[in-house]
Amino acid sequence: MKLVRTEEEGMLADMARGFLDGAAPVSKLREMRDQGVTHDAALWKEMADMGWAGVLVPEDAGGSDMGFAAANVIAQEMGKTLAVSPFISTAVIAATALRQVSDARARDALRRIAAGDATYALAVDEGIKFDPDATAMQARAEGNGFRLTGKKQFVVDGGLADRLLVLARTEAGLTLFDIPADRDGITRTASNMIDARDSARITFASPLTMWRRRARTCWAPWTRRWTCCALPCRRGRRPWRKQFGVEIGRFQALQHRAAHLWCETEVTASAILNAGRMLDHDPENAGLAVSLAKAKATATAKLAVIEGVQMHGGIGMTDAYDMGFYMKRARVGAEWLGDYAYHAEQVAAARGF
Amino acid sequence: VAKYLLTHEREMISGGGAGLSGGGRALGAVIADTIQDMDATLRADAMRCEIDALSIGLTLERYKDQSEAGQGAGDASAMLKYMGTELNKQRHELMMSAGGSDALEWNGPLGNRAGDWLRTKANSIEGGTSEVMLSIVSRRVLGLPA
Repeated sequence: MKLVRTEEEGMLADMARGFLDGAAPVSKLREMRDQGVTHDAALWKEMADMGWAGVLVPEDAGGSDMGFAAANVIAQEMGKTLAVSPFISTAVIAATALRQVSDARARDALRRIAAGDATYALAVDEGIKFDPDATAMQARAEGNGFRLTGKKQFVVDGGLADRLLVLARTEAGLTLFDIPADRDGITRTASNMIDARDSARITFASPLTMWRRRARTCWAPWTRRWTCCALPCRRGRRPWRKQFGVEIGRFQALQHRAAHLWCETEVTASAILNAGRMLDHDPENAGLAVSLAKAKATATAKLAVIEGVQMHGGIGMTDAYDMGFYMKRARVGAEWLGDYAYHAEQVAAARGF
Repeated sequence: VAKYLLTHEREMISGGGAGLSGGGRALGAVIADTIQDMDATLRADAMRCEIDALSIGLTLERYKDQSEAGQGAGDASAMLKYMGTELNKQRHELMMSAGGSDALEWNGPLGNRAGDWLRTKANSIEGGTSEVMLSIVSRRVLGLPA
């Protein structure tokens, strides 16, 4: 298990960069935000054609099965231009969950994910913070199925996803349900998110569902399994702007802050690479690595966007400049799937305090 | 040659590779051994320190793997030196904090903890100060003007 990017990963990053610069630059997000659009089906289809939707889907189900480290590479490249896609919800989270189920329906679902024909959203949060163990939502057995009652919030990609993965409590404990999002009894209210992405509050008034999976046994390893992809680190911008007739990049006070930020991004890159390697080679023991990566990436992204705005001065505050998009995305990413405090607690527990 | 030696000295000072698997016990766990109810601030500092320590350990490992694959650390060794020494200073500040007044005596109940703490202040001076390291990163890695 080497902490060096392989040649294949390097090629994947280059290919992704080339594609995303053309198909999903930051201006694309701006355009979608201005039009009030949160999903681009054509873009997702193109990504699926390149094998991204099936990055964690087995080859015999039509996937490219490139693994978690490769998924991290793709997610990091997407982060650089804030590409909008259901990649993490669908290709990482849903594919990982469904892969642990060995029946024909799960296989079919994976096939549809890989083809870009089905998108998913994960519905876990019931309060303002990620806390799966505190799930109160009930699923009552009825005949061959279950009836779900309760509310979920901050369901990222949940406004437009075809299917929902819903965490609820049954007599057997925490259980993950896979339900079509348009089922009677499900009310979705789109949230007007600061990062202009799709997220919803969802009410479940007893929709009947048949398909369920016990989550208790598999929850722990894979709550952590996807989080390393959640926050790609960003590079600080280089300050070439002029202030008082001098390029601001010549001011040592700013140079040192930019240099410190670069150091933090290097350290963060190591934690992310390690998490991907652990998930690919030793998933049952990857919890520490993944929580470490999410925590560190959250902290570094926060530093990067704060410094990014400050170093750009007044222009950094304007909507005309892209920096604000990064700041808002980083804030949403900081909360999604466990914030710094949540993952710091995981790290502390794994490290014996 | 001088430059190589300096680079080498930096790498020595910033310590050997100790990733998630190879590293020792967490500082927070060591502190927890002696303090039953760590206060919230100390515990938060210990958690932050642990996250940084593990990430920096992995970075040393990553650069070691990179050099084995034929890519030397080059000017990025300044980053390793800067991050490693600043972390070490933080860790010793934390140990002093955890030791309370016991840590304030020469050869007291906690042995030479104060001496160790004071010694770390030189870490970010010897082998090139932290400010020099940041200037190296700024010029050589980020390409900012001199």
